[in-house]
Amino acid sequence: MFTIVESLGYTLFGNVSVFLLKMLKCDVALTFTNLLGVIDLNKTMQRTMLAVSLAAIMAVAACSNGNENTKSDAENKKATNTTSNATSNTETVSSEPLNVTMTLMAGSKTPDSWAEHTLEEELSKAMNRKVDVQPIFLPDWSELNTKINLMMSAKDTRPNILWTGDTKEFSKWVEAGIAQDLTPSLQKYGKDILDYYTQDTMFYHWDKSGKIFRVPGDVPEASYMTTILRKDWLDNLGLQEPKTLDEYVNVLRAFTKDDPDKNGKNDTYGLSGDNYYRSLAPFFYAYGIDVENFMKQDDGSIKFGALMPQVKTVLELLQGLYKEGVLDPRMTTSANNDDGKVNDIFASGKVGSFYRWVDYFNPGNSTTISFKKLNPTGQYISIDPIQGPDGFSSDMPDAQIGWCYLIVTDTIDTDSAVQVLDTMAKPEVFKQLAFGKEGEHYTMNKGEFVPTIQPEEGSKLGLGNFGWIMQRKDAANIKNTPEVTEMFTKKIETSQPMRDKIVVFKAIDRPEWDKYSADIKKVRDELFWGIITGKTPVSAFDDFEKQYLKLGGKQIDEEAVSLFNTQQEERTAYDAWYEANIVPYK
Amino acid sequence: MGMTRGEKWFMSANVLFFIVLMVIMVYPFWYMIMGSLSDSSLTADGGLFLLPAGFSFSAYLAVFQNVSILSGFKVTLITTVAGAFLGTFLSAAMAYALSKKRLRGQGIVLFLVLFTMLFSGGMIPSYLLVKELHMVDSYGALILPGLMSAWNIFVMIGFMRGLPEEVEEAAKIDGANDLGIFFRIVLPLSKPVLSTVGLFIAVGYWNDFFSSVLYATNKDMWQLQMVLKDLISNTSAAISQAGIAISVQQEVNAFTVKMASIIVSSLPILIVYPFLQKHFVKGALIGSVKG
Repeated sequence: MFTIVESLGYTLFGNVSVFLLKMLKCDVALTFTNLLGVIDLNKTMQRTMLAVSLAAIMAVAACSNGNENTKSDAENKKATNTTSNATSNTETVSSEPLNVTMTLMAGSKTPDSWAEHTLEEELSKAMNRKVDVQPIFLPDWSELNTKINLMMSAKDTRPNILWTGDTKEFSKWVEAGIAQDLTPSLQKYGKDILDYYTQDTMFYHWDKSGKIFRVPGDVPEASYMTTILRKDWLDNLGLQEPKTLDEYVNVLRAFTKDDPDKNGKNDTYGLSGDNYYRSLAPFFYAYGIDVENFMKQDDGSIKFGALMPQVKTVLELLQGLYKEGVLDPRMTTSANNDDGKVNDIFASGKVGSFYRWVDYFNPGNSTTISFKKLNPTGQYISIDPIQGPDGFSSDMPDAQIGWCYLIVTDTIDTDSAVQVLDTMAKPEVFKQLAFGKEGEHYTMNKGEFVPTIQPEEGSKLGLGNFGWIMQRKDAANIKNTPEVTEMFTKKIETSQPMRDKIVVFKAIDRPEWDKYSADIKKVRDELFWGIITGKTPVSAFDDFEKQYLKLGGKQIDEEAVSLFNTQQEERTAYDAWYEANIVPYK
Repeated sequence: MGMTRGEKWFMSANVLFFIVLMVIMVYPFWYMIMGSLSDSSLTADGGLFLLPAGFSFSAYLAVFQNVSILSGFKVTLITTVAGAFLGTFLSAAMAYALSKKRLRGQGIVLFLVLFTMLFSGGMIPSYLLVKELHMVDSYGALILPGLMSAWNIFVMIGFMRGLPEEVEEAAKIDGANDLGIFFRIVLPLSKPVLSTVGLFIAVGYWNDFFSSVLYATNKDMWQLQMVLKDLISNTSAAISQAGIAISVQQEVNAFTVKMASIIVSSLPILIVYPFLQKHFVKGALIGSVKG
């Protein structure tokens, strides 16, 4: 009776163990011999079973992924049903103590830290009731989304305030009613939040039903990169700060060939950076093109930036400069996409110009410190964006979408949650959580932030643990010197010309783009860097548009146009909504 | 006995090859040890080094003052010890019973054990089960789900089927019941396989981090490897990989501290390993030839 089941089991097991051994590259392969001893079965039977068991393995592999999704969906739906009646805006009695759980990712994740207690004190003061903050520290980046999805799958494990960067699940959470609309609470208690985030930023986090289901956690500065030049080299060679692209190219040439560091060796480069197009912004942007984004055209249509005819001119120019040795060849390989590598190149002081972080101009920046150590007389300056032949110039604008965001789940009333977030967004509270107490953990020396404790002590205090939740990038970020803060302010204006041209898509779902863009980008990168390094003739660019269309560019274009149109309508509706619902409460 | 020229060449090439191979394998360890002993301000630019850049124990001080690492150590020690003992004992008990062909329903139970090897409930159902049992954030969640593996049970069954039947019969004649035979005859005779399986389980628990990802929301219940993974995960790399271009103003943990924590957390198992390794081979061999 049992023999059929038994033999099936044994054979499956035998074949699976082979499979597993191969997969695990198990070095105790001898164990396998041992295992086979368990199996008493004739050969033909084994062979017929092989196919069955292999099929079973495939099926397992296929199911195990699908299974989880459907399960979590079912659970989500169950959660909706049970919780949809839960009223979200119930007034709570203010004397009752408030427990808030929130997921945290930033900093050194110190449990029960000074920062946590400070926040609790501030919240208790602001909300006039006892507040207990219970941080849930998220695991490292590779396991982050697994953990978040698990926690969100059941109501009793759901954090009150969820920090996340993943957008794949967000629409499901909204559908399931897990994410609550924050608009009324923001109007009542969210002044600091509404004041801090711009109208543009809030647009990307706004739902077209007229609700706000998520607020940004950290939005980059409006523009955080700048054209950087070696001032001491300019002086050595008797050159002026370049304004136009021609002048800039001449300066780069001189930096390469005229021995700007006067060491008698031909060991300098004009420009270096990473293998992203942002490092070449002084060239592309002078012509008003961004090859990573869709761009608004003069006739009102939109077009993928990499297809615009000016790209060819820029590539030709870059090819010439590469041939002359002005461009650092290291920037043509993706190995240079490691920030650390480029920082090393920056610190080495052998390159005259970069398009890179404004943050380098903070004296506390570790790369700047290394640079100063290696080049005591060296000096980098930031200059205005380079002007193209038409007089156009712009810095690189940021899309101003929060790269991470916060959700108030259905496990807490939104009023309390928004009060918590708003308190955290207050500059004084933010400063304490991020940098500690002035006089105790740091001092301000003529506007310059000087920590008086070691970084390890800062970790122990939990400084930065609450980062990326209402992260302020304005003057409250005292790590920036007043000069750097001013630079950031000025960049808002200098990056505006390109901000006006680049299309930023609000939609989270861009199926066609997700489907085809990887291949297109690969072809583009091979072509562009091939042209720059001289491996491919410039004329190859002429075929690029054809290739683009063949690789799915048509679908991408259609999707982009329709998204762009609906988005413009949405924007009109949003602006009216913003005027009515947000402006009066700012 | 002289070697021919060809043999000499071969020998020296061989030696050279293995020295290179050894350097490749040893250098990462050396790099970590030297890195952990370096002065953190001097290692900022990275690069290779053979000797510590500067010399300081401050990284180790930082590690031992890090509450998370200490609590991770505690959690991992408890799960490893408890898991290894419980897991070995329970696997042995099950394997002994299943090794007896006269046991009724043995075939179907074996199949069910095997089934767990092929099919698992998946991550979310497992999580929901543990949650419904109210084991989240407890040692139970870290120990129980991985306690018994079908693989270990089958290894043990294979071994126990090789034990001479006569010994058990002799014990029975002397008046021992089944439990007595198990505890006084079978377990002592199975020491090699017990130590092998015990080691498999212990190493498994020591290296485990995913249980914490799934079942621990409180950082006090993070296993050591989870703390370590979090400590050395590179925030700026992760962010730029996600396609977000922001300049992260500073890395939280200095390079030297990362190195020191890797050393501290791998040292215990590194020390134990050479003593255990012979059992690995021996235990895996035993039972491979049926008498």
